[in-house]
Parts: sequence; structure tokens; C-alpha cells
Amino acid sequence: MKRILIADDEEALQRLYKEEFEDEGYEVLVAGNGNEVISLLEDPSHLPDLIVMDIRMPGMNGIDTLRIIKEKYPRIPVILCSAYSEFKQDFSVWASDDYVVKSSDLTELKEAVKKHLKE
Amino acid sequence: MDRGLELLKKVIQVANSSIGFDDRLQGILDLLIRKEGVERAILFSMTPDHETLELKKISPRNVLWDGSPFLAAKTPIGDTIHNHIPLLIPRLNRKEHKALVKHSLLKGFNSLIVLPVEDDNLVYGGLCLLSKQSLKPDPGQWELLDLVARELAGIIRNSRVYTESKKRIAELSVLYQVGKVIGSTLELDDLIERVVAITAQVINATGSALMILEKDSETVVVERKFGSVPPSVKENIFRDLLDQKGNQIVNRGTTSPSRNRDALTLKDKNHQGSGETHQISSFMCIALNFKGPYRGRLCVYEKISLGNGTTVYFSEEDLSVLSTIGNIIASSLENALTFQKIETLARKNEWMVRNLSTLYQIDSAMMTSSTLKDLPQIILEAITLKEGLGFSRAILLLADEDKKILTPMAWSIQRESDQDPSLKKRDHLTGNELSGYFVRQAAQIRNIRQEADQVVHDIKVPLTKESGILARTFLEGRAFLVDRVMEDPRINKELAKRLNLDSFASVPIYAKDKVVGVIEVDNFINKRPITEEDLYLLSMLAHQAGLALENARLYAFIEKTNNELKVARERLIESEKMVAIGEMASGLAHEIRNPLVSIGGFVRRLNKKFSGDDQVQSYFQVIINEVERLEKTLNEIMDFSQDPRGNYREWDLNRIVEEALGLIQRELDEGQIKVQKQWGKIPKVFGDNRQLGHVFYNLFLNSCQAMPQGGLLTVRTYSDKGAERSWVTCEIKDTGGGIPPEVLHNIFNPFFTTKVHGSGLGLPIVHKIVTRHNGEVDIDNRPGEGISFLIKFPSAKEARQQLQRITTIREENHETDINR
Ligand SMILES: Nc1ncnc2c1ncn2[C@@H]1O[C@H](COP(=O)(O)OP(=O)(O)OP(=O)(O)O)[C@@H](O)[C@H]1O
Ligand SMILES: [Mg+2]
Repeated sequence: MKRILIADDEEALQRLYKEEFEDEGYEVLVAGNGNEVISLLEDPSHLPDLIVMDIRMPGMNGIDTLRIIKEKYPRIPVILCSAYSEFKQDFSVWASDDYVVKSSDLTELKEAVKKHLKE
Repeated sequence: MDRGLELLKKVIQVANSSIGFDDRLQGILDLLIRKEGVERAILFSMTPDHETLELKKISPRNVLWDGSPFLAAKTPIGDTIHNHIPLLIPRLNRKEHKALVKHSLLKGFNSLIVLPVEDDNLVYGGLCLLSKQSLKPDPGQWELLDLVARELAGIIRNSRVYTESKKRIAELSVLYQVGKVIGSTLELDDLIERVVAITAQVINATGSALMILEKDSETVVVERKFGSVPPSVKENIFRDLLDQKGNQIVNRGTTSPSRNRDALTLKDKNHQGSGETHQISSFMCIALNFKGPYRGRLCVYEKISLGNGTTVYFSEEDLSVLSTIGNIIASSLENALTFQKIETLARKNEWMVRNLSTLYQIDSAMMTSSTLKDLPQIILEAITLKEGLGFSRAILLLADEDKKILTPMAWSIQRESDQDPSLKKRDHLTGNELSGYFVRQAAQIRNIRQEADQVVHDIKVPLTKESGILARTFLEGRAFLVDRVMEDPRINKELAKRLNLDSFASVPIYAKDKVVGVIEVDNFINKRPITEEDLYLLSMLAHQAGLALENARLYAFIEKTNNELKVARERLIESEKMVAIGEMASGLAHEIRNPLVSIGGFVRRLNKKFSGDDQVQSYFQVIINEVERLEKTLNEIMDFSQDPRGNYREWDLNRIVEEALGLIQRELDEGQIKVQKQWGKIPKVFGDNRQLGHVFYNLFLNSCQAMPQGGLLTVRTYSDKGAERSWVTCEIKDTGGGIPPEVLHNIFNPFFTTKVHGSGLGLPIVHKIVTRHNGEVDIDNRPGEGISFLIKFPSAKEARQQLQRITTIREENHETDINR
């Protein structure tokens, strides 16, 4: 079973994503900010197959976290999922694997996850 | 007593007597006759050039001969004189003397004795003694004859010294007299008067004349006669001397002044028809030598003998006196002329200064009125006001270069009566007041309908050489002054009649070295002749007018540019405002989107959980739809404020526009709007097709909404290569009445709308998208008619190059971020 790490500061969204992706048959871990993500990753038993991460988070933000992830765990795909649509064209510059604008319809996100897990 | 000594004694007596020199010579010759068989004695004098011998005295006095007083020097007689050796020809009938005896003075004699008449220094001539018998003087007689010849030489020498000193004295006295006269005045007029009088008086001539011309212009600067001078003298002699044969005579005049002892017959040129002639028995004329740019002649006519009052010829002495006078007066005259010239210049300067200050005031009046509309009228008022240049009428015609005609732009007529009585007299006005005065007058006049309008307003002068002076003034760029209009073949008869012209002047108006128009002036009311000075002033004014016109034009241009700048600045502020709104919107988006996602996401989950319960599901569906709608709006706002440039591709703008037209088809049909499409051959553009389509969709929608009763929508694409950039342009033109100018500046403001259900975001989004694509939006608003939107994009090639530059900069920035 694939393991996904969801990072978002909004508890409601954490819950929504967790339930939706569990429905899809994934094991889902959640984190509320960048620091939590990094400490989770330090436990090898928790190492996820993919990370879905918001950009604007308290503490360490998504972009900084992304940089650390890509340094230490370059093989884990990271999908940025943000309410900001204006960064969409810049995601590759930040070395994230994909960028999905948050929407109540999770179809696009789910497809992106599926796509990057297959590789 | 020896006969020879007797003779010598008598000769010496005569030589030393108190009678005149001529009489002494004659007396000595008379003494020689009959002595030693001499039947004729002749004294020849040698001319200065040593070419001829001239008869000086002959004895006996009643000799009859054919009158020729000269003898060539190349004869045995001449040779004798040259060689200083006495000669005896005992038999003149010899063959070799044939030529000599031919001379009537020597005819009929048998033998000849020739003695040189000379002293130790000079040869004066020769003494010839002739006899029918054969002369055979013995040595004593030769000695005697030699002594007599020396005595003759002495008399001649004394006579020359005497004449010379007499001449000196005469000259000195002339110098004194003339010097006294000319030293007493510096007034040219006075001086001339005195010069001609003293000249005639000193030479004892009945008349004298003086004329001085300026070398280059040939204008007469001095011309004065004294006493009786033939009336045709000026026209004929002076003109002939100075003009036609001027140089020749001047040259001869300087070395040997012209003199005419024979009667001079002149035809009076002014009376050629009548053939009237004037007799001048003698006249004498010298050239006056000036250092400056003048040439002149001093002439005297008809000398009267002091004794009996009869006319006598001028002598060499007279000529030298005249030359002396000429030399003395020339420099005085020149000084006086220069003095006068300086004075004239000073007067002219004063005049110029006066006029310049008028011009300056007119000029400053012109400068205070910076609007193009008032300016021509003010110029013309200045020309026609009595306080200005004072012409009866002035017309300013400007050229329409397209139509190749001159048309009146403004005109003015001097009004005698209706000047503002409340105004002070112009003389009492200060410069500033005067400027105001001109302006006020102009304003006053603008309101008065002038009768001249009828005559002037529809004048049209084609710009061809044949259409008269005004056209030529323009074409040739120079001033014209026409004195007698009706006699001048160059003028435009029809126009002259219409304007009731009998004389007029016209000057070109230059603006930046180019003729832009013409000012015509005339005095058709007061009939005052137009002078060169008028023309000069007018030219100066026209020059000022040209400058002022150019200034006003520049001013208008600057004003326009300024306005454009202001608009551009406002636009800039506008777009900054929109950036701010964009930022706000994106911040807002974050705040709104997260709750929306939660709401929407959980409702979808609920919806799944309650599958089977249609009623509940339909409620959920409402929430889902509403959230979706909110999210869509949110996306639109985000589109407006951001740019997913990752989606940029090359597109055919024609296709995009065509597709946008398709989206609006329903509205077009409903509104009965005709569409005219002109697809140009255009390069591809680079961008986001969805956004680009949105631009045209918004514009089409606006046009449809502006034409609810139907109309014409013209859609045209074309490309044009500008100097700096080449654009791909789509023009959307409608007939929906356009936008009222007073709200035009608002249309790119978000939320500005005049429609009941409008959101006011259409055009701001259009603007945002177009500028995001490095394009521009131009508007051609025709209130009451319609409006055109010109949407301009760079070609794909150009856009890529631009983007390349931007991205490079961005990546560089990001790299530094990442490496931090
Ligand atoms: N083609 C046009 N002819 C006349 N007026 C126009 C035209 N296009 C725009 N306008 C004027 O400009 C205003 C602003 O236009 P804009 O498209 O920004 O907003 P809107 O059309 O009023 O609303 P929305 O497009 O958001 O539905 C319009 O309300 C209208 O007054
Ligand atoms: Mg609109």
C-alpha cells in the first residue's frame, strides 16, 4: 500500500484529504507545517511514497520545506497544492514535481497523485 | 664798325629789352633778314616728344604759306638740331632735298642755313635762314650766327621759367582761394555750392558742373551746376563720360584730362524727337580721384577772356588749374560725403530703433496670445492699426499644401473711427500696455463683422506661377511691391479688381526656413504709396509672424503631447491600481479558497454518503454547484491578476478572433448586427489562447450591448512594421455611438459600468490580458458614432525574444534564492 504524506495547516483540509485518499486506498500521514514534515521524514519507518504539500504554512513554509526534502530525499515526488494559482508556472523552478490549485473537486489532485506514484 | 658786331649789339639790345618774350624773338628774327642775303628767318621749337618741329616765329611776318606750322623732326633740319652741329645746304634744288622743299615754308629758296637753338642743358629748337641766292657764311659769320642762336635760346629759357613761375603763383592762389572756401564748411551741400562757384570763377568759365556717382550702384550722390551749363550736359556728357565710356574716360582723365577745343555738338537725349541741339564752343573736364567708392567729374564750360569778354579756348594752364582744384576738393568732398553718409546712417539707425521697438511691442503682443486662433488676427491688426504699420488692409493667406492653394486665414481693414476712445494715445503707453492694447484691439475687431469679409473670405489663389504675385511671393519666397497694378502683366487681374487694388505689396511668411504663407498689404482706402521702407518693416514683421506662428504651432503640439502624457500617466496609475487590486484579490483568494475547498469537499463526501436519498442529495448538489460557481469566479479574478505563462503557445490570431466571434453568434443574431470581417495575412502571436479569446469575447460582447438596435461590427486584422516594433493588430469597430468623452478615462477601471447588469470588469480584464502579452490597447472613440478598439500584440518571434529576456532574469534571481 502506498503511503502519502499530506501537509496543510488547515485541520479541516487535513481531514478532508486524509479521508478522501484513504477512500482511494492509500495510507495517509498528515503534518501541519514544514517542521512536522521534516521530523516525520526522519523516522525511516514513516518514509512516504509521495508528499502533497501546501505552500503557505506557519513555521517553515512549503517552499523551504520542499528544498530540504529534495536535498535529503530526492526520490520522493512532491506535489504542491495551494490556494495560490499564480505560482503555477513556477513550480518546476522550485523543483516540485507538480502543482495543483486547491479545489473542492479533488479529481485533479487525485489524478496527479496517481500519475506520480506510478513512476 | 664791323657789320657783324653791329648786328650782335642790336640782337643783345632786343634780347634784353623789356618787351614780351615773343616780341623779343620776333625782333631778333627781323634783324637777321636782309643781312648777309637772308630773305626768310624761321624759328622752330621742338615739341616735348622730339617728334615734330613747331613754327614759333617767322620773319618777315607777312609770309604766305599753306598754314602747316609743323615739320617732321626726321629731316636734315631735325638732324642738325639733334646733332648740335650747324648745317649749310647751299643748293636746295638738289634731288635729295626734294622732300624738304615741299614744305610750303621752305618753298622757293635756293640755300638754307640751320642752327640749333640750345643752351648748355637743353635743346629748344632750330633757327632756319633761307635765301634765293647761295649763302656762304665765312667763319666769322658762323660764329655770329651761333651767338644769335644762343641769344634766342636764352630768351626761350627765360620765357619758360617765367611761365612756369606764373603758373606756380596762379596755382598757389587757386589753392589759397579754394582751400579757404572748402575749409569753411563740412556741410556737403554748402561745400558743393562753393566748389562749383570757385571753380568757374578761378578759371573764368561761364559755367561749371560737378557730379559724383557711387561706384557700384551708379547712383548719383552729388550733382551741381553753376552759371550757364548746357541743359543736356548732365544727361549726355556726364552719363557718357561716366557710364558708357566711363572707365575709358576715367583712365584718360587721370593721366590727361579730356579737353575739347572744337565745338561740341550734343543732341539732347530728352528731346530727341525735336532734334534740338546745343552748341558748346569749349569745355574741359577732369576726373576726380576718390579713395572711397565714388567717381566724379568736374567740368567747366566756355571761357571768357578777361579783356573783351569774348569766348576763348581753355589753355594748358587752365587745365592744370582745374586739375589742382580737383585734387584739393576731392578729399574734402569725400570727407563731407562720408560725414553725410554717417549722418544718414545714424538717422536710419534711429529710425530702425524706433520701428524695432514698435515691432518688439507687436511681437510681444503676439507672444502673449499663445493660441493659434488669435495670432493671425493680432498680426494683421498690428499691420493695419495706425499705431502699428498703418496699412489700409492686410490679408494673411496660408498655404494648403495638399490642395496647392493659398486661402485667407485672417484679414483686417484699418478703421478710422472706431478706435476705443478710452485707450490712451499710443505714445503714452508703456510696452506692456501697448501689447495689451494690440490684443484688446484685436479682440474688439474679432467681434465686428467687416464688410471686407464678403470680398476676402473666399479668395483662392492656386499655387502656380501664372496665378499672380501672391502665388509667386509664396513660390519664390520673396517680397513683391507692385506700383501700378493695372499696367503690370504679372498680376492676377481678377483678384486685383475684386480687392480694388492699385498698388500693393506682399511678403512671404517663413516658419523654420519654409514659406508657410503670404501677407498682402495695400492702401486701397488712403492711397498712400507703399515705400521700400514699408516693405522692409513688413518683411520684418512677417518674419516675426512666422516665428510666432511656428511657436504657437509648437505650443499646440506641446500641449497635445502634454495631454497625451497626462493620459499615459493616468493609465499608468490605472494599471498600478489594477496590480494592487490583483494582489488584493490573490490574498483574498487564499482566504476564501480554503474554506470553499473544505465546504465543497465535505459536501461532496456527504453527497456520496447519502447516495439513495435523492432529496438530501439534491440539497447537497445545490451547495456543490454554488461552491463551484464561487470557485470559478475566484479563478476568474485570479486570471485577471495573474498569468499562467506556462501555457503560452504560438497562435493564429485570426483563428482566435474567429472563435471568439463564434461564441457571440447568438447575441449578434439577436441584435441584428452585421459583421464585416477582413482577415489580414499576419504573423503568429504568442500567448494563452484562452485569455486571448477572452479579450475578444469581452470586446464583442460590449459592442453587441452598445448596438441593441442593430449596427455594423467590423473586425479587421493586419500587421504593420513600425520603426521600433512591429505589431499584429486586430481592430474591432462598432457603430454603437462610442463613449461620452467625460467617462472615457474610466472605462479601464475595474467595476466601472454604465450597464444595469454590468460588473465593470470586462475592459479592465481586456487591458490586463493584453498588457500581460506585451500588447497595447488603443481607442479611437467617435462620440455619437461608434468606437474602435485596436488590440495590438507583438509577433510571436518578438514576444519570445522578450520573454526570453524576462525569464533569464527571473531564473537568475531564483538561483540566488535557492543557493542562499
Ligand atoms: N463598444 C462600446 N460602445 C459603447 N460603450 C462601451 C463599449 N465598450 C464599453 N463601453 C462602456 O464601457 C463600460 C465598461 O465596459 P466593461 O466591459 O469594462 O464593463 P461592462 O460591459 O459594463 O460590464 P461587464 O463587461 O463586466 O459585463 C461599459 O459599461 C460601457 O459604458
Ligand atoms: Mg463588458
